[in-house]
Amino acid sequence: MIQLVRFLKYALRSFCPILLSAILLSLWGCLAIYNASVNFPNPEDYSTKQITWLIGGVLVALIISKIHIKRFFELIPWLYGFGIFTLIAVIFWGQPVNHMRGWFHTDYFSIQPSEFCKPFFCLFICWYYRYLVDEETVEFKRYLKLGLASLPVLVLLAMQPDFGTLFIFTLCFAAVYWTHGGKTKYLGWTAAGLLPVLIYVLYRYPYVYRRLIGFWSPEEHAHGAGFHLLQLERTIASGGFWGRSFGKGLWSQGYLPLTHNDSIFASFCEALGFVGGFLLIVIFAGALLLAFRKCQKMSNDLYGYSLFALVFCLSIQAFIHISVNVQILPPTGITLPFISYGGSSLLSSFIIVGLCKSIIASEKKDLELLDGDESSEVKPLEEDVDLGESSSSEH
Amino acid sequence: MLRTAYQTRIVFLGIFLATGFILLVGRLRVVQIERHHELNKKAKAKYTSRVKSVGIRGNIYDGTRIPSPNLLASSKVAYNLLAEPGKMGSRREEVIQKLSRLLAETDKKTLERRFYSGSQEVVVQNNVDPILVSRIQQMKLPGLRYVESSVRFYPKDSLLCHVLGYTTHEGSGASGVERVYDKNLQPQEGYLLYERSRRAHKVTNLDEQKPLDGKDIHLTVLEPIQSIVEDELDRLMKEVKPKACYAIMANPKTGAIMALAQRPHFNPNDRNTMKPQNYNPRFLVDVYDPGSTMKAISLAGVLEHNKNIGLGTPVYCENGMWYYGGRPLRDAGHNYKNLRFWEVIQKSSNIGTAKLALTIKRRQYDVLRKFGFGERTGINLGVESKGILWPEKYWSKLSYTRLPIGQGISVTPLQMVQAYGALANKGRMMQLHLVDKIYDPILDKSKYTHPIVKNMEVISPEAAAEMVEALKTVTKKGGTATQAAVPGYEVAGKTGTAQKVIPAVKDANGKVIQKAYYSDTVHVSSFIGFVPADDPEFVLYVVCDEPPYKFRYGGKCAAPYFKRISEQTLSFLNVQPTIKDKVSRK
Repeated sequence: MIQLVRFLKYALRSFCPILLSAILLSLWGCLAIYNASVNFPNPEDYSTKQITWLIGGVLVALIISKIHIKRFFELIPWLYGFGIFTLIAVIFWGQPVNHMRGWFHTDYFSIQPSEFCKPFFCLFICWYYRYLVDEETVEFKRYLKLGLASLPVLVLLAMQPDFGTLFIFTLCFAAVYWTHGGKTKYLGWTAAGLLPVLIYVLYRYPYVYRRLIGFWSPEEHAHGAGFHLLQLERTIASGGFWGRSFGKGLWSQGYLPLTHNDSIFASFCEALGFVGGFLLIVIFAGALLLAFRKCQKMSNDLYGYSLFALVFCLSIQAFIHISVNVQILPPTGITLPFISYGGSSLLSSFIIVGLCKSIIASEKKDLELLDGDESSEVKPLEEDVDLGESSSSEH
Repeated sequence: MLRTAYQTRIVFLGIFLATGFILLVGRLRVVQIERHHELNKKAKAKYTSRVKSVGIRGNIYDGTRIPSPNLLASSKVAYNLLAEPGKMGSRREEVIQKLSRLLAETDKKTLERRFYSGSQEVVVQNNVDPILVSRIQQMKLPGLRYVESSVRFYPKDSLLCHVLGYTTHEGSGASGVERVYDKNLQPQEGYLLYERSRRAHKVTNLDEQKPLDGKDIHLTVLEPIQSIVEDELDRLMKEVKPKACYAIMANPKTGAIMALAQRPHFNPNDRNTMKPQNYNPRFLVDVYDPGSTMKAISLAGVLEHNKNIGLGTPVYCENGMWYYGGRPLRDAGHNYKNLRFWEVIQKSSNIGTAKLALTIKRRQYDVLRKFGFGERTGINLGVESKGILWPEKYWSKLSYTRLPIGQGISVTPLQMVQAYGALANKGRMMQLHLVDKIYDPILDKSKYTHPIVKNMEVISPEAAAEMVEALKTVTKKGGTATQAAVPGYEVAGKTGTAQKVIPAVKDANGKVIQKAYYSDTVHVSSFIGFVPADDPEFVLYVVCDEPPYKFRYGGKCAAPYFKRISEQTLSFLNVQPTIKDKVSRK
């Protein structure tokens, strides 16, 4: 009996606000998925599968949160390497969906390796940059090495080709490098250098070009590339202020393509109206701002960088997804974390949540350890790092 | 330095993303709140579907009550066969070949033209029989679609065709009862309003109205009697060969039409037989000078208004030629000297009638009006003519001698039947009607047409009875229509042989070249009567339009068929013979 109470206490403590809110958000997402898939051949399938993944995700997050983040940093080159391996494997052995080799399919579920790469990619570039800071003194070399290290993932994504995820990875890379104090001009030059590549992509994959054109004038391409955009607009408009309530979203059920994943925000807005959409945006923006504040207060830089990178990865996905859904960006095929249907995406999001929790817990533990010894002098090492960084940036 | 950059850049990114999110909210607000109505209206037009569902048009039955009414017009299921040539691929030629072989109404050339017209969907044939459709379905041809429809069907083919009328291809009434009672027969359209998805699935039902079947019309016409009448008219057409003929039978006591037939006729199931001369309802729109049949009416007025005149009153008939108003009046074929009142009727003397009618000179117009001439009978069967009866102020001196013998007045056959009905019904005129009841299958209620008295006393019962006595002599020895006599029954009737008016001929300037005149060769010959004379079961009017010259007398061309029809009808109605002792007036 006492053991049970103790276990419950332990369990409750394990569900810190971050994980709890992530779970609630995901459950809300399950409702949205059910709403979107009411008219599918077997409507319960989607939400049931999602809940199964959710349970798995929560367990994974709990396990990860109990592991000290240092262990991950020790293992990160291997994890990153494994990620690259899966990306190579999926190009050779994955089944193509919509001309895209991004999934492993089994009879019961499918796995998208690029989703699992996200958290480890973020952790890796943070860790590697930190490693380079210690090693290299020339900023340009540092940038080059960081770029070369992350290039395999980006190239492999372009080979799938999954430009949406590639875009997210690139943004994460840029954001991590930039916030770490990297030089803006290197990023600018790189972007300029990528321009011919972009043109080549537009030439090589005409559907990307058509999507851009469709985005520019959806009414003219109402039966082609503009169709999705028009349906998004109508779906959102259909919701009005209070929404049509779950299960009655006509437009999302009848017309909107990819209503349960790529367009989930629109279908969510139809069901819950402006009120629901607003609340969701506030939740994402609020979580983002809270997490950023937390980063700033971190005593350990690596922890701070990593937390920032992980949260940025999630929030930029949310931002792009919502932007696409309100027709500010052309369709990219990026899912909304926690809400969209998709096991890999959900699991990856919960891995990120677990990692964030682990970082915060590790930070606490480290501080407690330091408190035990001597609390006045916190981080002599980091001041060194500061100096090193500043000197390198002056070069 | 790193820490500051790290701090400021994170803050910068945070603010940047937060601003982005605020922009998203703004955009959401624009689409969801400001443009909600505009976009929703656009969307609504697309996703709301309205599907019509049609009930079944009402049936038309005859007036038989036992054992059950006979079906005269009904609707049966048919299919509109549509094709989408684009879905046929390489089998298009095969489809054309097979369909043109099966469908009698559609030939290969039309099909080829339609199939290669470039339209997405073309009509192959409308209203295809279900049996044929199942045969086409068995062939499993690609790109065909069947839409349920209904087609009007007349089980007795041409029987009663002029009364029933026909429907348009769309299924609404075009003439006859079908048109006049279209509102009753027409089913009430149902609909289903629903929100539909892109793949045309129903998402939610918004509104539904079940279709309501049309009401059934039960006519007063009795199918067996109608068949008798039509058979006899066919025989008449064959033996006498007039241009047209028609017969109207009505119950004088109720005003119910028992039979109404016309030749030439058409078959409403076969549109090829529908020519204007076939489907024009002459009994409604034909106006003609009725001739001698009018004498009974005007002389009944004499009996009513001149108390000095009775059946035995003698009239001097001027040896067959009488000048009045500067114009001669002849008695056709005979030179009578003295005739009694009833003999004037029996022999149909023009001079006698004119002279008798002159005794009530000022009441003649009233009498004719009271008998219903110059106004529509109100039978309610579509466009009906009034006939021509000029008001008295336009009458000339001659009119007082010509109208009583049925010249200078134009009537429709139905007016004549109505007037004789009043004579037969002891001076009481009943409203002619065709519809017995209208049955509403939804409420399971019938609305009956009750007999309406149109005029309580056109003439007094005594005068009517006297006139009936006089009319009985017409079919007896010495009368003009001995061939109309029905053995065992007393027939009251009157022949009519009217010269047709040849219309005036005008030249291009409207100047009259040839005045209108009474033709000596073209006649409208008729016989009207009721049987049994004292308690009539029906009034029957048989009219021949333009019979050959040798058949010009009504007694010759119409009377025999009156007899035949009456005989059969009386036996069908099971009427007891009235003459047990063969008493004649002489």
